[in-house]
Amino acid sequence: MKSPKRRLHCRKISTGENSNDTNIPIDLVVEIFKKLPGKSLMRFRCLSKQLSSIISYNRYFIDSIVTRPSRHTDLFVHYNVDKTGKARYSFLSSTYNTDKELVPIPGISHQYVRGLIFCYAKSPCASAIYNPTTR
Amino acid sequence: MSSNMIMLKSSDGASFEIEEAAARKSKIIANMIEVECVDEDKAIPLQNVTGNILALVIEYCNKHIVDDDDDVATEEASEEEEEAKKKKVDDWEAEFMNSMSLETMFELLLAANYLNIKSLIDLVCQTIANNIKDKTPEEVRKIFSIENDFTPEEEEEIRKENAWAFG
Repeated sequence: MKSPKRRLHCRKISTGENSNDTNIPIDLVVEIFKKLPGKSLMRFRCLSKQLSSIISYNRYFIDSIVTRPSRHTDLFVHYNVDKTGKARYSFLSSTYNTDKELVPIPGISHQYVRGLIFCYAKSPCASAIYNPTTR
Repeated sequence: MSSNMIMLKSSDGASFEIEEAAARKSKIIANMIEVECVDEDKAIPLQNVTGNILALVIEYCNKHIVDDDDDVATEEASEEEEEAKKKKVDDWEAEFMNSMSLETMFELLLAANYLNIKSLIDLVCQTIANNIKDKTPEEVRKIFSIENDFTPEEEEEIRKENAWAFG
């Protein structure tokens, strides 16, 4: 049996006040990070080079984030065109207590894939990609 | 239900008696039982787990073995009953983790990892994640003793790219 003992020898390090004495091995830090919301992950990209590269490029890490069950994230998107012909999206999230948000979009044609919305108009020729989670 | 009892001994010499069914929550101990290297009269020494943390692990295992038994007994439970049961477990887990210090959570995580108890690893990771999700990068570096190996320019660049996440 391959023992995980080696990496579990927790080094006791004291780095002053407010810091924890228990050193968590990087593989467990990654397990914790897998549970973080996207916004926190983006903020923590600047922690260190190693973590930045795991968060941004590691296939397994990204897959686990993309495929994790979204127990409580429902995003409702409502599309409407008002009397003046201006098209808008309204977003309503069940996770954040934000009020309904209105996002004006160029043109009235749109397509969406994996949470991103692509909008385009023929005249004037314009296109844009919206990520509703970042607005 | 098997009423076999197993003895566990913490790194600081405390002994705990635990039902075999509960101890099997740990893959490591389950494996030891399978290959028959558990002697009924001898305690299993756990070099990496202190007594206070082992007590928490055992509390968790005992609670969850009871729940597993319930599952078997009420196989035809309605969806609502299932939901109510799940809520009961969630409430217990929330209460269990509530008021635990970050330091204790870390030790519990290391113990769960060492003993290979997947559901406990998930629970503790999720609780730590909830705890740190709104913290600043500086605070998180300190908590995990992460050394910042970016130059100030590189760090500024990444922060700029992700400015929306700092709001």
